[in-house]
Amino acid sequence: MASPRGAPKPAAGVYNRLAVLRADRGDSRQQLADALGINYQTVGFLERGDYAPSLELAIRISELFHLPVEAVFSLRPFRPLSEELYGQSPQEATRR
Amino acid sequence: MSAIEPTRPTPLSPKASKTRQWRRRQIITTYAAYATTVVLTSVRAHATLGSGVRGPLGIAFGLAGITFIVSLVWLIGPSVRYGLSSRSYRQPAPGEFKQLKDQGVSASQAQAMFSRPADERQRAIRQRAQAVSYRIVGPVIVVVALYLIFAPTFFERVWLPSTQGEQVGLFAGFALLFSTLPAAVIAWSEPDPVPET
Repeated sequence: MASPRGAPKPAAGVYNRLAVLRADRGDSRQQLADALGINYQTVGFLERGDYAPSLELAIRISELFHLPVEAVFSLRPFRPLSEELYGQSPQEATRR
Repeated sequence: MSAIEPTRPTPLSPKASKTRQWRRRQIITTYAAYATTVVLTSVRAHATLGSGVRGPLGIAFGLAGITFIVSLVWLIGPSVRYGLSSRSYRQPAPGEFKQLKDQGVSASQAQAMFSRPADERQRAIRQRAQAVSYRIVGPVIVVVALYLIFAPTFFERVWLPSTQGEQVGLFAGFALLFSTLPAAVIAWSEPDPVPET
């Protein structure tokens, strides 16, 4: 979940980009859950920020996406990907 | 990947999956039906009733008893699956079993496809539910025991389970609490399921 800055803190206290990364892969929650060996409901809880994964599951998720753990999970809100990749805010991107 | 893979699950519709409101209503119905059955058992055993009251009371007792038995039977499966088991079960979509059977999958293989070890979140909520149940059942047992021991000493007219029906009712209450409370706690607190897609 790429939470914009100022977004309410997730109930579990950990921000993540799982929904964005899953959409990027074109997977359903069930497919991602099968790949991780967990229940698809758990994927939903993770995406909503209602559940903070164990270190083991966080590492497994990161390995699945071939990303470092800090690119998927953070204790602070993530910057929007457009800003992170191209150095522009979503508002600037819309104006262009 | 094994040769036999479950068919792609059909996305859950709100109707197919049990919403939290539905689950809460079911739990309240079960426990309320139990309480009503026990109270009416006691009233029928002790109260002096006219013939005009006895009939409707008998009907109410029968309805409460049937409601309790039906809702308890409904609750036993989920209680074992989600309150006591360490496995995770997925409800097959309508027709999914038949589809697998047509593919040559045996019934036991099909059952195994919908059952896997519970994941870390599921184990955590079950452990929490068991801890919550323990915190509820413990004081309930102490209060009931203190009442049964000391109430006749301090009060003149107290209710005590004197008939066989009342004693069975009390025992059934403990059995109900012990066996269904962890699953009831989970069903009460878990939010509505998210879609699979």
